Amino acid sequence: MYWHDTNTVRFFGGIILSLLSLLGFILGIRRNFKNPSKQLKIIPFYLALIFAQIQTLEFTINESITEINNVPVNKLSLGIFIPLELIFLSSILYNSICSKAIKKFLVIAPSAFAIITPTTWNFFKNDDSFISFISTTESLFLLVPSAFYFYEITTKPPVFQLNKEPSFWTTTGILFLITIITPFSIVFGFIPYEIKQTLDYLGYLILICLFIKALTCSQQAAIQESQLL
Amino acid sequence: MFTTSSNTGISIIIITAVLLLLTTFIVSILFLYQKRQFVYYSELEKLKNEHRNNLLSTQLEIQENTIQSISRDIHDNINLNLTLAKLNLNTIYTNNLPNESEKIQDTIELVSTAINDLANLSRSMNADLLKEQGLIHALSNETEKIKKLDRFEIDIEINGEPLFMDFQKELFIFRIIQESLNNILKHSNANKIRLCLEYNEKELKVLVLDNGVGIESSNVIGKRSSTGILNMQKRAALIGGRLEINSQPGKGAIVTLNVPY
Repeated sequence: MYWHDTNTVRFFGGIILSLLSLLGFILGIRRNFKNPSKQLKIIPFYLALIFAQIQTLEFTINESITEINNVPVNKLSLGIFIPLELIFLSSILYNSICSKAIKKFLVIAPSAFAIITPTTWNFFKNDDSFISFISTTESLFLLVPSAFYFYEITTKPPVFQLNKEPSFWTTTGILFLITIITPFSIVFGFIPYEIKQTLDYLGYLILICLFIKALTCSQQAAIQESQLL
Repeated sequence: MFTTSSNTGISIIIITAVLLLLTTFIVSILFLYQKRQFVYYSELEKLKNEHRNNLLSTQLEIQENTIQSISRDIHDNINLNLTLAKLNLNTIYTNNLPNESEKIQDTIELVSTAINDLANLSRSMNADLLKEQGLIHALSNETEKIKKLDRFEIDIEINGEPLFMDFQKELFIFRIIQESLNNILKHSNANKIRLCLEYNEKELKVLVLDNGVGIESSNVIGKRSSTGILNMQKRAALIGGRLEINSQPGKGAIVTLNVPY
């Protein structure tokens, strides 16, 4: 979610994403009461983070705040948001994947990333290269586990109906987000803000919609259990 | 004229669109593949279960036929032979054999006891009574026989409006209860037995309780289960029932069977 002057995409995108993340948050909290599952427990908090990020950006734009303690708002907010987002998304993937090696990676990589990110602020000459670096790194960290989930689907006996499986929708959402944000993150400083913002909002729109779909999935029994005498 | 920034932007949009299409395509292919696999495995599981049920049903049917056949053999052959042997013993003229008289009398008594025991056994194994008069009469008959042993205090309690089920179902319920009672007689060292039948709205609940030595839970569930308990569980599963055995060493046992109508 990138800071920029008021424009149509930001205005409507912000409203739509805020409403959707709020809806997802309420759904997720209700779901947690009814049917607590580790993976679905994390989603509402992640959606709350997105909501908070959008509101922070709106507030700083409306109040014309560009710097806090000499640090650009955009750099500061993304320097906090992206590592936190990586931790949330990694936790969601952690509960979807069976491979122990990938699980280890999902614990170590985001933690290291969250620690290293603040120390790298000063290495970058401008904001764009810093944002490009952390966004691309985040995408690459998430790409391997989410692609691995689909590999696991093909190698394991299908005990669940995939369209009713929350992990399928969450991982697909993450994969779509990565697909959309990675290309423009790489060339972040070289493309117009409108394009970045449109693509960014599109990625999050798909992600939130698929997370909401995951939250509405009812818990299903594995076929081995349901077919027992 | 496009600026360099705009050109890069358009390229990025095109690349993103292509990647998005590619990702959608891959995810869709995987989704459809998994869906087909799921349908295939579900069908396979269903067939396996049907096959397992058929096997189980045939196995229990054969077992029931064997029981009936043994029951008939006891009644028609062994019992008849023993009766003839008893008659023969009665016709022996013992005045010439004063020393053997007592032995012959003892043998006649032993043969009589054997005839009675075998008649009881034959009646237990035979399902005719159950077929003709229903589950409650058959169970009352069983409890009467246990009472005659003078070792146990046994009560039968019927709650609710008794409902006749099909013969096969009642036979399976009867065999399960019979096996529970047999286990109590043989292994429990109990002196009190309570048999309770509750005819509820949707199911029949059977409780067999005793005050014996109880059973270790490892002997109830898993590989150490006896053949009798396994057969009880198989029979319960075949009639769509649930069988539970709750017991603790020294605290008796409760066998609960729930059978939907």
